[in-house]
Amino acid sequence: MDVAKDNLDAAFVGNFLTTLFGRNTKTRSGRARPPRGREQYAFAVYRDKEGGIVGVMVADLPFAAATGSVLSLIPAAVAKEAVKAGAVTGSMEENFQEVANICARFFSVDGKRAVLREVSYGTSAEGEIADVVNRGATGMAFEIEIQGYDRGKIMLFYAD
Amino acid sequence: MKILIVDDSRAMRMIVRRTLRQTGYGKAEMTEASNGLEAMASIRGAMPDLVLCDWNMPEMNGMQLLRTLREEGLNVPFGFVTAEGTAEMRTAAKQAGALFLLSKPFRSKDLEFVLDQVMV
Repeated sequence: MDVAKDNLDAAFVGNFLTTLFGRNTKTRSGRARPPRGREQYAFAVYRDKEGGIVGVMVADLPFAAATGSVLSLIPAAVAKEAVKAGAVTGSMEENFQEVANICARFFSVDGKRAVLREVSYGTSAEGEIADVVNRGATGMAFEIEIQGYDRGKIMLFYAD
Repeated sequence: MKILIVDDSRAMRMIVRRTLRQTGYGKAEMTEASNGLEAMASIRGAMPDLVLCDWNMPEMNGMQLLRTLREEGLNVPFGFVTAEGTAEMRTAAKQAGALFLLSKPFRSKDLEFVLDQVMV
């Protein structure tokens, strides 16, 4: 199912995640701002067949921990501990990679095919990822609360 | 009925299992493989009634698995369950002999619908 970028709104993202996790998800739009601080983020990079960056999903740690947990029923308390410790690891991290893989749909828009190529963690984007992320005007952001887990945030930045 | 679930993500295999249990196919015997090579070995050992397979996997991806199966004359019913689902991929899947391509995420009723179409 191809998605049009214009249809990527809070309702679409909410339905998508509700279907993925089988739990109610509250989603609302926010403002996309390139991370510049002390907080850790996950940077999921999506590329086309030729290896060019199509987009970057920037997820805060609460989102990575919550989605990495809910996928295999890791308790919310464990997700909360991961956020406190400043890192998602083990099966929580492995699960988040799968969530990021499925979120390729947010970048396979308007007939393009985007595939998750790497996920890195840090406080800010670097190199070619920064080139996309720092162009904040092309981004969109969503605050997401999955039933039973803490609220997190994702930002979607498109290369064009 | 035996269903082989092939996905490199353990969590995704668990989700497919859980979703299958919510359908009319919940009583099927489910086995798992984490890539095409493992799946190939499993199928050679005991032919399942259906393979539900991811597309992108290490070692041997879903399309390579499907082509190898067909080259060996193993016509086990095969469907893709994958994060992607472009028109181009659907066409390629169909041409290679897949019965369907279901994009993740999916609801139990979506899975049941496609299975009802092919498991007759």
